[in-house]
Amino acid sequence: MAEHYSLKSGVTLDTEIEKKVKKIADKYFNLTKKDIVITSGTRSSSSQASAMYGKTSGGDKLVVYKDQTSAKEILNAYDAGVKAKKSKAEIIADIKDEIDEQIKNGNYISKHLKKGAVDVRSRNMSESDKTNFKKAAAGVASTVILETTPPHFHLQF
Amino acid sequence: MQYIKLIVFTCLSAIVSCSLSSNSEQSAYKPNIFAVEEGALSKGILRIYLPEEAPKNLAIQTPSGEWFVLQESEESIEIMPQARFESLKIMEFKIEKLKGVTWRESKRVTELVFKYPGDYLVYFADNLETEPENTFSLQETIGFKK
Repeated sequence: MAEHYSLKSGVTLDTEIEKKVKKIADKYFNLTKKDIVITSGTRSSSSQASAMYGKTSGGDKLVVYKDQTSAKEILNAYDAGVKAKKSKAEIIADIKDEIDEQIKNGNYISKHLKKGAVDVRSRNMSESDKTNFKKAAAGVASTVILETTPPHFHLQF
Repeated sequence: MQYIKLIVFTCLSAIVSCSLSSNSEQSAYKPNIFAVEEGALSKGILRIYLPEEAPKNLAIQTPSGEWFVLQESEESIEIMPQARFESLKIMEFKIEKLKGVTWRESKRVTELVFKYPGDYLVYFADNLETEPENTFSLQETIGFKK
């Protein structure tokens, strides 16, 4: 039987999470006859560090982050690396260390650093599709949030 | 898929390709820093300065909260060829002709982006369908007066 979900390029899910995604996709398909697209999964601290290096080196002051204390620690790690004339790889490694330390203390600069975080395409869903998706995800995901910037569903398992 | 890609590319790029330039006023320009030149808007130009490393996709959120995708090669939405998009350090678009892709009740439509005065969010990201904190992204809000 064909699956009713697909993974956007570069997205991987662990087996347990994928089983839950399949369950939601099947329920959603039964309600709408439509498939879902998984647009993001769990992110490693090294991949997060690389993304945050790109932002800081492009002049971004990390103001979009809700946890501004953690964001400032990362910005400080970047600034210290630049001041010490470290290479890009060395600065990314420093940022990764900072993120790992934050995770140890229970602080997640991105929700996707937590195991079980999944994003689902919502931009092509009608209002009734969105309602049906929430129904399909209820009881399978512990949290279902319809994000608007940019549009997508964020699930936490 | 290639056919769809060609249609979308032709549709979007025919309007803006002639307005792409690097010979522009550069008052907001700082080397390797992302910026959108708000002053250029009054002249009908959306001028964007990009750092050496920039995200690979572009979308704009309108004052009403609607999102228009302008560049997302993976989804066959291209305002210009992806290689050119990633190589430019200054992008210029004529606002009156700038079109993007949005979805209304599941239907994909291509429309003008700047239709009303107000604040527009110019959003570059490697992934346009996750939180800004979960992807390499750069953004700036600009005020547009028609």
